[in-house]
Amino acid sequence: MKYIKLLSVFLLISLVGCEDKLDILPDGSRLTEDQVKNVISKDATKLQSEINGLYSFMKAYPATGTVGQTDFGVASIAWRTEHNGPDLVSPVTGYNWYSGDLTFQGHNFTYTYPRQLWLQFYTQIATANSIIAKIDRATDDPTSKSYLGQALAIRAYDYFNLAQLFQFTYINNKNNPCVPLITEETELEDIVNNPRATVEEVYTLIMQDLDDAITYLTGSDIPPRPNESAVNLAVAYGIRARVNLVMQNWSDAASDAENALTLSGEAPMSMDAVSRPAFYDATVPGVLWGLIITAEDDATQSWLGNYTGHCVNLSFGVGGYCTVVGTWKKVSKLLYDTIPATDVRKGWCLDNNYESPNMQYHYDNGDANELLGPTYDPAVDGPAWYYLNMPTFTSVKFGVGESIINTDNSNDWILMRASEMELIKAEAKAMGGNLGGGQSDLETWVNTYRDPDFISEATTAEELQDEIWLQRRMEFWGEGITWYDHMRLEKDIVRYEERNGQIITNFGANAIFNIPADAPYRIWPIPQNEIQANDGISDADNNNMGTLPQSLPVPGGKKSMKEAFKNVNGIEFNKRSTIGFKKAY
Amino acid sequence: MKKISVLIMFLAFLGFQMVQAQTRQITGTVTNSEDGTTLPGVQIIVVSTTIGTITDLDGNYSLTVPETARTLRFSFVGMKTVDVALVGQAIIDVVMESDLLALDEVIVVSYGTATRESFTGAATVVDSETLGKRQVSNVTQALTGISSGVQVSSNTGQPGTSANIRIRGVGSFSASSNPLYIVDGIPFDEVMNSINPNDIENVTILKDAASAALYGARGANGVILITTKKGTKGKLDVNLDVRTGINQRAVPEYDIMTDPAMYYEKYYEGIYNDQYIPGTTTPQEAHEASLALLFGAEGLAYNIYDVPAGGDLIGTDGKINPNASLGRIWANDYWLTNDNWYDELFGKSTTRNEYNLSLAAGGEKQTTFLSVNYLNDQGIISNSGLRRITTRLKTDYDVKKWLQVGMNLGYTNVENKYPQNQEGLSSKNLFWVSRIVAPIYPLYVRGADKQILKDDLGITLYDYGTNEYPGLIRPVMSIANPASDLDLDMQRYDRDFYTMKGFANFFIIDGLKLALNVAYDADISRYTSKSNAYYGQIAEAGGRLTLTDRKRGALTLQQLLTYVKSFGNNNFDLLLGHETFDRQWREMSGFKQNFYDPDSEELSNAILNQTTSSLSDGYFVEGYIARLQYNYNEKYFLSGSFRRDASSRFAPENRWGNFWSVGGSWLLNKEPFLQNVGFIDFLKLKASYGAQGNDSFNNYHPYADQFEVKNSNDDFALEFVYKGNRDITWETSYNLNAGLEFTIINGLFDGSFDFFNRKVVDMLYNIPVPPSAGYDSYPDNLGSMQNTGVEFNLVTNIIRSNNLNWSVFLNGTHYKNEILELPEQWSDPDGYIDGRRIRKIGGSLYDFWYPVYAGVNPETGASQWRITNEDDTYGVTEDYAEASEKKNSASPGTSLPDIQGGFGTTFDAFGFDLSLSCTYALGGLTYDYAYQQLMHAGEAGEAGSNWHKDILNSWTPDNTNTDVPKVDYGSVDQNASSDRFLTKSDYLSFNNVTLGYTLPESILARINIGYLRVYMAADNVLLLSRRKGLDPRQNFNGTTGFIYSPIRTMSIGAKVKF
Repeated sequence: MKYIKLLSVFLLISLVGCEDKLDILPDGSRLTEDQVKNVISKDATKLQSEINGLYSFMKAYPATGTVGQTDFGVASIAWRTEHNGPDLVSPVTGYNWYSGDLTFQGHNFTYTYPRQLWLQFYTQIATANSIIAKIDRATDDPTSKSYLGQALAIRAYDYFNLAQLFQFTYINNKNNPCVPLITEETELEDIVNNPRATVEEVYTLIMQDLDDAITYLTGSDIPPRPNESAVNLAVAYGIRARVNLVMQNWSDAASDAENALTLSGEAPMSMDAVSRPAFYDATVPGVLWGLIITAEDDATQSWLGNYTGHCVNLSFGVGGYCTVVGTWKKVSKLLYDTIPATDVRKGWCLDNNYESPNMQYHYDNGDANELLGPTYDPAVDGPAWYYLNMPTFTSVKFGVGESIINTDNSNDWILMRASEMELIKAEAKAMGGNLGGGQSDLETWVNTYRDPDFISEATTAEELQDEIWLQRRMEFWGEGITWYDHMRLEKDIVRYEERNGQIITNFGANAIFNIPADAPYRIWPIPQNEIQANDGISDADNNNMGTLPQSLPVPGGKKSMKEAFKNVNGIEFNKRSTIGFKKAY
Repeated sequence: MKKISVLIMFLAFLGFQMVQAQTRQITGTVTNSEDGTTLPGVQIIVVSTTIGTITDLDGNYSLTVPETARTLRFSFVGMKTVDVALVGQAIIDVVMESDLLALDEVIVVSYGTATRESFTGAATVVDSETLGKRQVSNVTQALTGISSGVQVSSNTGQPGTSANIRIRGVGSFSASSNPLYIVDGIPFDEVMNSINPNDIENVTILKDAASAALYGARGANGVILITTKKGTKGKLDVNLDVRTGINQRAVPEYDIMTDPAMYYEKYYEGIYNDQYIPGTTTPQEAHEASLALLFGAEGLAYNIYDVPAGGDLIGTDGKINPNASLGRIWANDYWLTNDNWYDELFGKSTTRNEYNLSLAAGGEKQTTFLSVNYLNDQGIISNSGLRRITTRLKTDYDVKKWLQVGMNLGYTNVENKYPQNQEGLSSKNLFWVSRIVAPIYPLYVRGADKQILKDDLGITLYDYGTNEYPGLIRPVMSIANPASDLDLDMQRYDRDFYTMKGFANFFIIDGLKLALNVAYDADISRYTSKSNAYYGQIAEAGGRLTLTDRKRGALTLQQLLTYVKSFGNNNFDLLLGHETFDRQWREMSGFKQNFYDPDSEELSNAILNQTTSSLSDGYFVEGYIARLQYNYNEKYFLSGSFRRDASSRFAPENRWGNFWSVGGSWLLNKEPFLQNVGFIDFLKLKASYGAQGNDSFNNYHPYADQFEVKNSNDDFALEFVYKGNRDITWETSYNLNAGLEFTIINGLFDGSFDFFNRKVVDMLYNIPVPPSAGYDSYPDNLGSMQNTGVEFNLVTNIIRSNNLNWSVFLNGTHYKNEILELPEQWSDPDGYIDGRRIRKIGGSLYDFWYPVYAGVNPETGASQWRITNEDDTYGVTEDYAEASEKKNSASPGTSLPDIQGGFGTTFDAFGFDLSLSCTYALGGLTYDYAYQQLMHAGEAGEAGSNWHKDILNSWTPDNTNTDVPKVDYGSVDQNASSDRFLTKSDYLSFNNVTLGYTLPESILARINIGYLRVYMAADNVLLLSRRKGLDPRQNFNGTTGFIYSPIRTMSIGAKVKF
């Protein structure tokens, strides 16, 4: 009897399954799709979180999992383009994560750099597509319309970036292959066999999305954006102004820029505002769109994987990577020389004496003293910024919050400013036939905001366009805008000039070369993993990078800057105490 | 202490013979237990003396023994030795039993035990004696080279880490290929160093389906069964094992430059090659420019030579100024010179100490095993090491004739200092940085008096390369000094591990047994990661701390019913069972910076940047088990098993899977036609086939799309992070095994030979998708792959006699990995490129894919790679991107060796024992990434990076016949990845040498010690590979990294039994 009981117990235990125990869901920051749906069914406002995901990915770290410490989103890509160009100088060393951009070595389809560009924008496109697919295009709901408008505008922004990075500019390349198109309607089976669309097809989608975005975002019932990270109607117009400028739809470009300015109510940043290190706050007047980066953001928390650490010369706190390892970002001497002494932007980098009027702000607020400590004596040690190892022409355009000794690197990344819209308006007017209007817009803007003595000497629209091009290079240095101007205007990249048999440049070893407007490596190759998984694109369909440029030898042999300074001034440099260093670093 | 003095005294008197007073005569006959025949030639000795004789042709003997003699020992090759106590007998007849093999040896198998004779599968048993020789802190490390079909790799030498084990090759593309571990019958998914290797009675490695199929969903990669020791009824043993030793770095450094002059000259040569452009610059201009660059911010920065005024360090001939002297005063207050980083960091030895005390006892109704172990392994670098205390109590009690109950309780306390980043390209990786820093840089900061500086707190000042020497920024690894970071930072796991198992066995009727098992493993740990507040990258922030508290627990419930019954010669053994495995984990993590007390390791001591996070998740498996074993007359054996399993990793409709096996074996030596073949002692043929599952995917919910919640400007942001696939389910492995086991020539040779085919279908696969989809991959069951191979184990007992034993073992495995089926889009014969691998049907998972190096252009010194022309002829290019195109690259082979295995020997003579064990591999390729790094072309980005001395053979106008491209400061891609850096992965590793001496019992008996052995042991003695410094044992796929070197441990020890 006992045995039978025992056996029954055994059978009972065995046969009563534990099916419910097999349903396990994670709890934490990660959620499955069902959990997300469940949340939204309980609280519809949580839908906003997916829209926010559009913008958070633009500043995520790591965003694409490809390029280590510089995987901090669109700001990193902006700096890649800056390093490709003629105006930003930094050393080619193992410590400079942008060395491969200075030399164009990164333009190899098996390397990670092209993968970063590709994944950054296509991941955003996937998020946008997911939102677009969820909302009925016929909706009347203002919130839904706002979501739809934002997703469409971001998708256009992404394709616009891709189109300009992976093919030459629109005007002369309409029928050339660009990038594969993926919309909310593209199934996976199409993605794996998806040839490159033509430039024309890509721009058609971009324009269509922007037109739709503007429609959806127009209306008094559309809720205002929660903060400057989000696209609103003004920003949508601003993006379309950029696209129209590239497509040379001059009048549309001018009216879009005008609309962006009017709708945003923003005026360019004032002369006063830019007379000290700035551009770290997307909420200040003059900014239409910018990614707000807080102390909680992953990029900030990562200490080094952020734009401030890698790109901003005035970050002397923890994680001030570029200041510590000396990968200073400098202004090209050729560009610097063209900036008039009366222009406020002359102070955006250190001069030959390691000084900049803009740095007075940091002397005045005590930053410099705190940084350098009591052992520092300007009479013996030279200018503070020299003492901190900064070379001449080091950019001091970008500030880091209120103080250069910061404990985090939570600086915003500005995506669109009123000044850009003003300059688009001026250029588009002139190129559209109204030279006088454009010229007057330009002069007004420069005189009011940057250089009271500026006078335009252009006699043709093209000359004015070149003047504006130069203004844009001065104004948007380091903001990820001017590379696209060189592509759009088909300008040579000029890193050195030969004057009287002398090579004039402050580019260093391996980076001294000029790049003709049609050099094949000015665009990027499609990454290998796309070609491998996409039957529609083969090795043969890829952009050919041609032969990479060869650098000239460093003219006259560059001396170490300490040595150079010693020779010029005859000052013995001083020992810096270990404590002083620790503090400084 | 007293006992030890006595012991030493006896040792001193060793060799003195006792004077014999009185003697007596003993006679007798020795017979064989099997057939009753008499045994000639049996050796008989009086224990502890040299008195002895052998039996005559009729098995008779006669021996005169002293009255003081206590024991007579009978020994004969192939027979178990018999000891007979002398209590005044005049006639002693002895029956000897065969010990050719312990054929009746019980081995632990899935959900039970089997004899070697009856077992139909393929398994290897490793006993405690073999394990005990290895000085490992983690039992998995001791399994290397021990069994055929088992590959072991280790990609870090950090004390206590687990080795990676592959049984019969890698079993999956994207799911885990790790075997399932079972400890005392219970699935074990925790940190393996929780188990004290000394507590282990044996390890059984189950390799085929018949052995492992009962583990169903998780058995596909093989199963490793660990059985802990238990007490024996009617016996009491107290064991003490003490050993103490030193640790050293086992794998030497590559042949890197150590002479600063050599480095300066070579790097100068690279700059000069860039600066000298005939027609543009003159040699003098180039020389001057090169010197300026050499010490500029984009050059080497540091000049550690004192050069007489007016001279340059390097002359126009490219050589160091003969008047320069090494070391110089810098900035008045410093002495600037280089250090030999390797000698400073690895020149010293650290210690490893281990103490083990155990008690094995048993009464009439119960047995008990109790152990305590203390281990302190300091690793080989600062703040690295394992300190562990374990204790175990295992007991069973026969309550009634029909009821046995028992418990197995273990507790482990671990403090594992585990410095982070010792594996990759991190400025904190001591093993990498010490290799890559050119021999011109100081490790320390020295004052003008040449002494290493210390700060007020007594902390040694290291050169972080960031103005410690004012004005000097080291171009390589600045803001870093891993030696200093290691001294001051701390990364540590503090773990409490509890394992509890209770069981009850009900013997219901004869042959029918019900076993109920309940087991719970709990791993409660804290991970502390402290970045110091004194020096380095985080000092400015006042230090920072990350704490992660984790709890992992696994509850296993088993109900097993077995029935054993015989009908005549028909013997049946049936098992039915049910098992659930419920594993849950949760963790909480906090982060803060800026400490009040810089030495605090608690978050509340700090004030800034607080972050907290937590998560929880789980995993559940449920299975129903059935197995039937049958044999006829213990000659023909058949077995069949079935398991139905469900795993929480899959969606409900895809959750259940069926797994099964069949197997059979035939003992040929029991057949009449082999009875008269004298040299065959044992011969078994066996075969098995079955299907097993693998669910161990790298995601616990792969059936669902997944999102990550983030804070974006204090609002929720949802980012898509994982593309799921609802259809995903098990991958299934079909495992065929056929083989034979034999013992021949009176036990002279003992071995086995197996053929296996392991075919995996419905493979869990992260299918790559075009990244334009916005994600890289999604999981699916696609593709198929097989491992086909042969393996053998051979032991020869060359000498077996009373005082002399010598045996040699050798095992080897050869297998081929073949991809049988790929997702449709990659089915084209060219395959698809997956990073540095090519995947194609008919190829192997381990096939490399690289541009093909075509040597150096003898005219220019530039690297060339092969290209394939339109007409399929080959050409060369200097454009690396072109060489990277699919049509131009190639697969030069696979990382899988042709043969791999282990061998070793044991030799015992007159109380001394010597053993040696080795592993080897022949015929594979490995990518020597470290060597590639050390062969850089002197590019600007490599300023300050050290070179392998092979760079001295680089192209120059005078040395054009070389395959090393010229060094060139301005070059691009000269040193890019290609098959140039693939090296044969052949290696021979001497894993362990042990020399011991066991004291004679006669001496020990007087001091009441049952057994005493003293020994010396060395682990990781020597590695021979194709290039000094290269360790091909790091990864199965032939990649190498910059790892924490394996540790050589040399110890002395003593083992005592009371």
